[in-house]
Amino acid sequence: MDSNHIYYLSLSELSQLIQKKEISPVELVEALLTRIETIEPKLNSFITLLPEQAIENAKALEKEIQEGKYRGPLHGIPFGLKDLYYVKGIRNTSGTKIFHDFFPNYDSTVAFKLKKAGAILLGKLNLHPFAYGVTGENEEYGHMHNPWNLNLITGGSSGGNGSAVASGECPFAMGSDTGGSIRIPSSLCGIVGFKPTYGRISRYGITPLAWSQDHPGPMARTVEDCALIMNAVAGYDPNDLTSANLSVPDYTQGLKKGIKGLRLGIIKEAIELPIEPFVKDSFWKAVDQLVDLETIVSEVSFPVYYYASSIASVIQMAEATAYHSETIKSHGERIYPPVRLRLESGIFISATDYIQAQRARTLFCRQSLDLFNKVDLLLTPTLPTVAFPIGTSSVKIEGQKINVVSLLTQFTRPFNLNGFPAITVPCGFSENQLPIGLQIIGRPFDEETLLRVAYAYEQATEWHLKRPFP
Amino acid sequence: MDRETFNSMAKEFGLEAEEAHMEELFLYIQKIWPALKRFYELDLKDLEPFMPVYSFKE
Repeated sequence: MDSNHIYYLSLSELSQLIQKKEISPVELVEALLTRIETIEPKLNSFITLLPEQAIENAKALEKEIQEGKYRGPLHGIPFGLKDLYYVKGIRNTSGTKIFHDFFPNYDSTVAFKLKKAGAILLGKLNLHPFAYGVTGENEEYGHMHNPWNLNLITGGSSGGNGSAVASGECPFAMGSDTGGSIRIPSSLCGIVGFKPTYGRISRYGITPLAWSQDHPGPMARTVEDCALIMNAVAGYDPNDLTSANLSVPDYTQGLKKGIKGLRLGIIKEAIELPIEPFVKDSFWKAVDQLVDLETIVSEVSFPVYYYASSIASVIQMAEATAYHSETIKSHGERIYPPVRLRLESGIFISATDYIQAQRARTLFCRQSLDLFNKVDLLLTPTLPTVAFPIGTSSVKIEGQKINVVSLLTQFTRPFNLNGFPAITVPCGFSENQLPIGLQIIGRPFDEETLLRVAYAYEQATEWHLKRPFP
Repeated sequence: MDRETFNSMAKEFGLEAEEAHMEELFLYIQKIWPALKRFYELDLKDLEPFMPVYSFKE
């Protein structure tokens, strides 16, 4: 095996090689650590690297394989965690030096499950401070850099995940998504990012941003890899009060069943928002591709969509400020200035504003569910644009100057508000070779159908095979 | 939101910062408030607040 290529194999391919003993977990970890050593100075994906621990774990897991104890598809697979997933005894910064000396004394449920599945933690990944931002800019730990063009943003808040997975530093990473923080960096870095239904993956031991809109989820290079990760991390957790006590399917089983006859809806109100023409073009080509796969596409109307950002922002601001209130009071001056403004502005959301927004959320959820009487899935571009230079505060599209938070969340945030599952898959490239994403949204707890469509689209195209570095 | 209400809510929360920062925060809120409060245009009659489904069971 040419080690130059190990780092770009999918989780699924690596898993088969490990099971067949064609590569060992130790070889794999060493190859990825070499890859990280080479490109990390350019990308800044990690806050904490754990090379010694990873090698130790790999040796133990290799011994198990030699003894015939195979735990499953994640056995011996290295991965990264956004630096807000607690791991016992490992620094957890949440992207700010205010928490640089915080070492949790327990594992998040996701970290625990991945450990049990035999996955090997390579390190904790960089993020927008407090996960409260969409660009992946972090002055304290250094900005994250997009592997397709190092001067551009990765997107955020799970920006380190995006750059690490896209560049072959690790085959997968776990992110979190409150307004798009998995899907935004996945789209901008050209990988697959999956936000399952709220309650499907436990939030226990993950630093909150806004409890009622936080979703953990996987980021990987293929849809099948996301399904494999879901098999390990999804499921009921009594430690999370909002965890869904539902049976969990094998997410890989339905992937290849085909998508003929499925009804796909295009949200009229979404595609009327400002979108770069080349993104629109890629989106419609993706729709055509799905029609070729014998799905039935129609336009649907979702009038309350226009209000999603307003409703979700009020709720998010109030919850984020409540969670971080002591930090705001005691360390305000140390908080990254744009994040500080966002956190402090939540002080001025009244209890009435919060409750009225929750009432509007009920309306939003009802209209969302009504749509699924007409269609099986919804489609939007993931983002209206591609990656732009680090330091950009607004972008002009169709003559409108739009601030980057509003712009990057216009198609993602609504599905944090209703908690419905949503995935982004690569669907094209701009003229200057920057990735574009297609977002597919499903019914609550029907991740299987969503993954099936994403897989069918991915297999019919080659966008997911393009790489930023040799 | 007028400056008096802003000062009063900041004080009640316990927010203490330099005057220049408070001015920046006040201006920031003035800027984002109209878009944030847009949902008040919706008819919320007969709607209860959204409740997360705790330990949803089959």
